[in-house]
Amino acid sequence: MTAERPYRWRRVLARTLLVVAIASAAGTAFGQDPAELLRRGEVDRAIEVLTGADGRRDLAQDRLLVAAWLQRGEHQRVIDLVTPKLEEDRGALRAIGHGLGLALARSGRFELAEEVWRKVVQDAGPDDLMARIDLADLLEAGGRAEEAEQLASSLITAYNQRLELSSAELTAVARACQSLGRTDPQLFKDALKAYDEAIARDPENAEPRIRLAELFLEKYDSQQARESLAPVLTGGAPVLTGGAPVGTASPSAPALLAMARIQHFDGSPEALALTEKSLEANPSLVEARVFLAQLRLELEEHAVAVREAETALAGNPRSLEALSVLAAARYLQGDLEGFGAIRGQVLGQSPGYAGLYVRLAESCVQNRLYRQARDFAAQAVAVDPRSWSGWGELGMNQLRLGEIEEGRASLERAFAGDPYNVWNKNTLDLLDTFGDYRVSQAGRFELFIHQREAELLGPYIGALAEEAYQALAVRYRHRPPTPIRIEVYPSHEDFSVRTVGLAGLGALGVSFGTVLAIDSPSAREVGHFNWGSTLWHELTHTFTLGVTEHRIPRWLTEGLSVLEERRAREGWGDDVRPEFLQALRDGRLLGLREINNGFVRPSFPIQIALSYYQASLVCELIETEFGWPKMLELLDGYRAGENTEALFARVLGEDLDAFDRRFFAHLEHRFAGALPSFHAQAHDVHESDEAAPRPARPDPAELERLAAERPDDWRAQLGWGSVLFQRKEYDRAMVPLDRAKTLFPEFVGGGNPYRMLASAKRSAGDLAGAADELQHLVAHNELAWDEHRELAELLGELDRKSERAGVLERAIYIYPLDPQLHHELALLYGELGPAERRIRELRAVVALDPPSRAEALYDLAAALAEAGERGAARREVLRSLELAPGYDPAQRLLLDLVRDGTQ
Amino acid sequence: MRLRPGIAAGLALTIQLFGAAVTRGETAFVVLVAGLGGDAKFVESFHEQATMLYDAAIAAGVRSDRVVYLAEDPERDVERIADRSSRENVLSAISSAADATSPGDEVWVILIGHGSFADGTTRINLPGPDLSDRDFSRELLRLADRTVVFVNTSSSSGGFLATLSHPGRVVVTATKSAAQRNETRFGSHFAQAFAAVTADEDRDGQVSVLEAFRYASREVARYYETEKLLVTEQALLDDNGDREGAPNPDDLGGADGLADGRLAASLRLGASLVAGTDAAADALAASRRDLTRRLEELRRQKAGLSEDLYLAELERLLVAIAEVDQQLKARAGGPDSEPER
Repeated sequence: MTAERPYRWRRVLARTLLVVAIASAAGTAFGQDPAELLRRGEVDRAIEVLTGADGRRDLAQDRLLVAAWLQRGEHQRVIDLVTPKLEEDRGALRAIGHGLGLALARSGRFELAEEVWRKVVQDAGPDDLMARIDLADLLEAGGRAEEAEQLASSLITAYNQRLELSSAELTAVARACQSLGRTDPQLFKDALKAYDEAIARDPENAEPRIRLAELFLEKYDSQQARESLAPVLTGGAPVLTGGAPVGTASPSAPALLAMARIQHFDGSPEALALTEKSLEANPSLVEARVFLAQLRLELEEHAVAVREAETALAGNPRSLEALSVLAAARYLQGDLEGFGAIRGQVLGQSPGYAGLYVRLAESCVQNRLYRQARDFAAQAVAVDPRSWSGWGELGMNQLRLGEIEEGRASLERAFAGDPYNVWNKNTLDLLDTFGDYRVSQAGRFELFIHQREAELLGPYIGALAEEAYQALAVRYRHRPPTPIRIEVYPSHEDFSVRTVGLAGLGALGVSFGTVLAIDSPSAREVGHFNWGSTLWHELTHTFTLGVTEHRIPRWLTEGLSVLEERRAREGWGDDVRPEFLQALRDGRLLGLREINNGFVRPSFPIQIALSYYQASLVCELIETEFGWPKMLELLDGYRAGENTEALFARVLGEDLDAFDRRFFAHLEHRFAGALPSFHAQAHDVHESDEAAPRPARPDPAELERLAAERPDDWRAQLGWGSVLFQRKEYDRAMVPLDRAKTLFPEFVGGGNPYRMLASAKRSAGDLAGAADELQHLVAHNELAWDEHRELAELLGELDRKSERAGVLERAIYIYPLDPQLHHELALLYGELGPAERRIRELRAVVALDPPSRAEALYDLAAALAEAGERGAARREVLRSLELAPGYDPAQRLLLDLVRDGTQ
Repeated sequence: MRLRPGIAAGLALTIQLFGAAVTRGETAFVVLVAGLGGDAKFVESFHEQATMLYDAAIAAGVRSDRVVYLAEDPERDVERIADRSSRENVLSAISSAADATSPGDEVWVILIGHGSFADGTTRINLPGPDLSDRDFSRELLRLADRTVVFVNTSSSSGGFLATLSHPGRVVVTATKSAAQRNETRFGSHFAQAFAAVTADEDRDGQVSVLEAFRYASREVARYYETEKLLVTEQALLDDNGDREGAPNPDDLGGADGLADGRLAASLRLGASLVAGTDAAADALAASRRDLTRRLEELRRQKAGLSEDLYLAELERLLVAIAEVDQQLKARAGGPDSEPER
């Protein structure tokens, strides 16, 4: 659209008249001035003032009232007020027409809104640009993209004519750039620029800050989003609504919603409360209601999500976002008929609306339905090939399903359309490194390991995965399709990007079903990661997701994975920690109805870890008290679409309240030894690694007294034992330390009694006793690298070779990159057999590229020759001599093999 | 140069008497310089490294009067330390090496200490005035027809590489540039390499400059990786005179044999066994050299051959080498004797 000179003059004149009108209306005393009240966030008081007294208002005051009612979601009042005035007063359109359009659009009366906004645009009044962009959005949602783009482009023209634009108008321009960014991503930069100008033009206008924050968040940059929003939340910038200069010093509903989204992105549990607060400020804010429904879907509370979506639709029956989230909820509930009807409604209203399918894809991902997510994303790009978020979702889900090349192509497409999406960019960057990885087949598994580590890790990972498959297939009576792809990342950041598209994920492994990704042991500090238990955990997901067709609740799939870890190896899987007992004591463990919150939206830092453990105990209890077949029956029920409430009643014969009572009684009984000391003490332990009892540095004399008076107080016993140990009074220390061990045998965190007892016994020459203590410790601690190594050393001194080999085998799952570990094991298996394990260990030594590589290759060749694998021996000895042609033992072996005629 | 009385006289005598040396021990000359330590910790560490190298040279057959060790405090170890590591003494030691050796002989100069980089010049810190890369460059001109191994393990030592690069000379630096100013760990591992069996990659009983370089580089990398630290040193080796150091040189000198590593692979700190003394043994030694050359050629062509063809040819050559070596060992008196490569 080309602007002409008369148009410009009309605009300037219109704005001048309006300012005069507002100035005349604001002639009331300070404090009762509704404009000022609104600016201070006293919306209700402003409404009171504007509607009080004789009820007479001029248009400027009506404009303020409209803005105030819009902030409170009072759309019908706005419609009732403004509609007749448009007939009566020619100036009404200019003053309050745009506000009327907003009220109409927000209550689903799109055609009327369109009509009003077109008039506002034609009038070229002060709200012209705002009406244009709102109209453009409306047309876009209705599938009239071309006209919408023309309108949005006209805002850019207005900007380029260097008109003196207000903050609200600059915000409208920015929105136009953002909208047009779908076709020309460079315009996203212009959107940023325009938002910045809008903020600079009026720093008190919150709207550009909120919209800017949402733009950053859309591109997965929560840090920038947070920074943009900060001034609004600290009370510095009010919100413009409907273009009127009204605001609030306390955060408005849109600001609270934006913050809720940021918090949600960052995994904070505050998202829910902030959204609810946003709805308190404006109960009709459909976007907030929709977001609330999304949050409920994440928590697998499908019925609640339906209610929220329906509430949103009561306010705006044609909201595409609300319909989309309702469709997702219906789909996840298994109500395919209801889902189909809503889908029909959405597409009837807007045939090219990809948002429906993107929402469905996202909700499926949150509920671990990756195949369905991929299919929905494919439909998103089918209805709208310019849906870059659709292409992104499609690509990410193709990757999750192991369709690497297809995923890369989809992401390339998404990136070409929207190069500012951090998630897509990170993932493409990661894909560019895939050439450094080696893909190999190991039985039922496809291993994807960095070429630097593939030779070392491949055999161990392949063997453990195969063992897990066989064990789990029997237990779950299910055989997932193969090959199962296992990706191993030597960089945690890469693993994180592979998993969530961004760095910083706290997890160690992820299962998308038949595609798993885990950290390599080299990605983590030694003693902070057990790759073996992690792999077993993720593979269990493959089975539980498979057997339920991915319809298993989060808590159950995690609980079973931890339970299977514990069954796989002694010491694997989470164990009880002091924080768990504290949470039990404080009533902070969640019942089954809410347990998913502990995984998805933890309310205290360690709640996720505690939830994993708790869920595993729930599973354990079901197995021990009801029998494993009941667990399989539950899984069958989930596959059929039943919910937890109904399933527990049908399969276990107990409602959830009864089961919770049973479970918590079980916990009281199971931890009866340690719990009394948690009831007795006020001070708590806060982090497991800092878990040594530290009752505010107590006086040793006080500790001694407490230990004597309270023989059943674990903390007192351990505290006093620690004091004696530090004083090197080992004989005396053993009594309270032994007692502490008896009371809370699972405690193996920092300052545990086993470590001290082992040291005390070793210094007294009791090597067997020291070894026993460390045996107990490692039986509960899968990460204790130093203790595994020390125990192996002790067993060596005690000449208990077989046990030593067992301990070193366990240590491989903690840190297989230690050449000494493999060397020791190779020597042990050389003595004990079997030959194949000796060979495996010698291969590991070679894979670690030792400085004496020629010697390592010769050792391997010799072991192969001894085992009768003379062909393989010949190849390895050649590799040795290739490096060291004059290496005498290798020369002799080669000559021997050649004379023998081995091929 | 101010040497301790007796050493100076002995050195002069050595030069006169062994000017036409016939064994490796008499053709090699080693100058070890431990610079200014500053902290006691560094003084101790530098001395420890120099001592390891000193002992390794002696153990490998270099005569003690041809190993000159200069350190900050000569009183610390009067048996080994010849004099203070002042600028004047270091230059004088190199000058003595030139006098004591003949064209084709080997001269090793190893600097241990702290380095610095300022005004475009890199220096090794010594008690008193320091020595720069250019100072060494000038002094080494006297050794132009010797085979020189110049090793600088100090911080910022990368600044020495381009200045000292020269045909027939191996230059090793602990860092890739003068800008890497942090304390280095390379020197310690480089010294250890000569005593570590594991550094002897080709199991020939001797550690070459290349093997020591690779061993130290690997250990440094392992240290930074294990400790999860940012890498602040990257060692380089140049032995083709192109002023460009290589972080991963190989014994073949790359695919065309012109890249770094080949010369360094052939130089060992210490004596090699002399081959046979009769005509038959000479013939075997000649055959061995020919087989070694063909093996190197084959390895260079590896990338262009099918695996089967490569392995078949490799085995044929290795079997031939093994047979020759076994014959050589039998003539030399037993399997413990190592063949000349």
